[in-house]
Amino acid sequence: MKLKILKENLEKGLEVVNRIPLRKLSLPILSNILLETEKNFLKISATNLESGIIYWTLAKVEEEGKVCINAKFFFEVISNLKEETITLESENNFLKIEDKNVSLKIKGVNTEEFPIIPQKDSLEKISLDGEKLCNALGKIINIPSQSLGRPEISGIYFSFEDKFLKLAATDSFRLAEKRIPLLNTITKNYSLILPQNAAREIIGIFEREGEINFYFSVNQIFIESFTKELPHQKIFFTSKLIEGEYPNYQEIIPKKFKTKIHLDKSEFLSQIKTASLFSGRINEIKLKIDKKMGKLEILSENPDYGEFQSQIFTKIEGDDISISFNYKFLLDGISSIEEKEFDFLFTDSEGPAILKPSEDYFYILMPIKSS
Amino acid sequence: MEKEEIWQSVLAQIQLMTSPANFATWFQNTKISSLENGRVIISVPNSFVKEWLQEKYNKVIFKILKNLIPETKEIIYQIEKSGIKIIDRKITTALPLNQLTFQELEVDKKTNLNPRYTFSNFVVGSFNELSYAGAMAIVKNPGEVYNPFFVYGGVGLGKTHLLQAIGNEIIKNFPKKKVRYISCGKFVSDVILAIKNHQIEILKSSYQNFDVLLIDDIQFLSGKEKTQEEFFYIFNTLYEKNKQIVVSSDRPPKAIPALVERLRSRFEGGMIADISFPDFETRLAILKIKSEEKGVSFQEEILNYIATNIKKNIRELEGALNILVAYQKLNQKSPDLQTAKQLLKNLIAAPTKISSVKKIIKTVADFYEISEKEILSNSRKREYVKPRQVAMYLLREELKCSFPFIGRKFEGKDHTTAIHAYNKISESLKKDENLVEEIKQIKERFFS
Repeated sequence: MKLKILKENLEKGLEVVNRIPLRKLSLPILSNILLETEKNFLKISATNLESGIIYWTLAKVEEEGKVCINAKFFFEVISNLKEETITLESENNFLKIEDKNVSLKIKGVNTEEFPIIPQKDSLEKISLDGEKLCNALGKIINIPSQSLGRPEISGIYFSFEDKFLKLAATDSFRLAEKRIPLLNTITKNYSLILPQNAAREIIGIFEREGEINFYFSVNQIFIESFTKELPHQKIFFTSKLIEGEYPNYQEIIPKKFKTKIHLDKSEFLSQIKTASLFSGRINEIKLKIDKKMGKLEILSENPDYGEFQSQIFTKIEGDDISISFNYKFLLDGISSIEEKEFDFLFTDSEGPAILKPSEDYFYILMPIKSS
Repeated sequence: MEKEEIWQSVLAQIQLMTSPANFATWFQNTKISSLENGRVIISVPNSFVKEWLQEKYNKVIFKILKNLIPETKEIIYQIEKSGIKIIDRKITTALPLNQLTFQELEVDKKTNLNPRYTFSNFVVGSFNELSYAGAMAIVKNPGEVYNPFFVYGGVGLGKTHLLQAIGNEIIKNFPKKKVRYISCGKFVSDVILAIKNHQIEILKSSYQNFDVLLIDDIQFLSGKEKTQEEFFYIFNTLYEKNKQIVVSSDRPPKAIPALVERLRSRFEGGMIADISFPDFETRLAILKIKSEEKGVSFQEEILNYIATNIKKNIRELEGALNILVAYQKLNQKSPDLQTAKQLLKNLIAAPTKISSVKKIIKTVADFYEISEKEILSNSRKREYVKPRQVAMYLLREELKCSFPFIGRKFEGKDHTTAIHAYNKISESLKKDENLVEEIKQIKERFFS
């Protein structure tokens, strides 16, 4: 293998493939990446056997071939180079790197050991905006919990329905759903459960990409993006899926409400943050809605620190209610809202409440029994 | 040689040629899933393993298999869709104190069963041993004995628990059987929705696929004729195919008002078992099991106190225990008897004697599905006369009201009318078993 490449392009590619963290320490080959020439491209592959990634970047290929080297070490070496263009050349079991002033050799490993990254074999393609997807995933990524022993809700639920992708996540205390538009029409509706780790990787990998395509096969998902300059693949990502059926969470979404208030996000957020400092051992913050006075009261107390009380005057529909929440779950919900204002709806002091800034997003949380 | 044995011997040979790390990575959770006419299907856990075995190990595997089974022609690698992975549903971390959860998530989507209800946490005593014995026979041979199985008993005595445990146990014993648990209320609303959308045939055929159908609170079918008709149809189809049907109700079939005769006789054709109130020892046993489940322990005298004072509802026993558990977690110490009494004051002091005149009349009216106005009226229609007499009887029996007072309550009737009603019902109770049952049910309602 011999090629000339812009250092900036190579560095970008290495940054992306390094988004897949090492999970199985038992297999040393996995800490390596595979560099391969493919026509006028350099192809970089990495995998941890749960997910895999391939990145293509333009290069002036002089001699075909491939080499397998340690990912972290290679990335560090490249980051430290100063020249614009560098030459990569394989020499026996070594990778030789040269620019105008520097010449170095990195020891490689047998390329035959490198795992094969599964390829897509389905035809149905679903297109989405990468930035919107990553933004939506970012809102809900931290909700699933790995400790519940329930694999099917430990991941992110994807449901492709006609013109939309619905993303949902829950840990059985709260549930959020975000809807984003699809860019093409689909023939069938699909749903799947993506592991939380893979969703994290996707956010890192595709957040700056424009249009991306989804494909599926038996318990495997494939996502690709294309280069801006040429109609050629730029990033290919694949992950295994979680088996099982996602619970029918539509049943959780309350249909009737007892009380509805409208809130300013930043004002509410700052009061809840202050109140949280005073909450006791069970993280309790109490909300009291008084319709006659037209106000929401926020209360918390802690035997060691003292008491907190604040109020927000706002529009209230429905009945008076008094309800307590774990402030952590409440803060997570408020922080995931981008809009300036939102509706906060309640069903009962011991029933689900819902934060709803728009038609495309909601965050349901269960209260705690007031002590 | 068996499939397992063949694969073992393949792995034994491959192990010698690869590093332990490689071997563990690529051959973990693989197996031969089928072996026919020289065609070997190897099931693998994911796409990475599939690609790798296909590309790197196919030759070796083929060679070894050929040695073991000379007719081997072809190897296919298939991704295992389910199995292998054992889903552990146990919650490993303690839930945050007092945090409420979405109950709906606990429920299995296909069967509608909540895995929490099993026989292992079902307490058996003299009050429910017949139901339990019936259930045990059913889970061993679903559809073959006691079909339909009809369980009845009051509120909070474990009917739902028994039904769900039957479902869960059958799934455990016969993983291929399709089990469906549904509450009658849900069934009714499904039927109504299906009628509205002209999809009643789809609904009916979807029920025909179940091997075990568990319907809770069947008394809600009462008076819903169209739903009864559809249910009768589903019932018959399943029954003819020897599919197990289990039904629960708060009263025996005879006492369910406005239930079509053919359905009633179907219910009576199987086995009917009742769950009555648990005795003191059983209540104590339940408390002990429940506190063990919750990982707490209380003084014997506290449990005795609860068991003595809460007699008619197992759910309330658990409620009482929950209050004590919350106290213990908050204060980091067990309550003593005095504190426990204080904590449970509301739960224990409240019931029994509070039933007011109004409440009795309302409960009786509700039970017979007539309005309060009708029960208090002067009408001599049969459907009103009996409930009126029952109400008068209960006012006398439960609240020791005077006969003139009872008369006045019912639009100024004479005290002799009240005496007549009381005597008539008292007499009937000696020979009419249905009436005994009805009165029992009504009493349960206003005590619960």
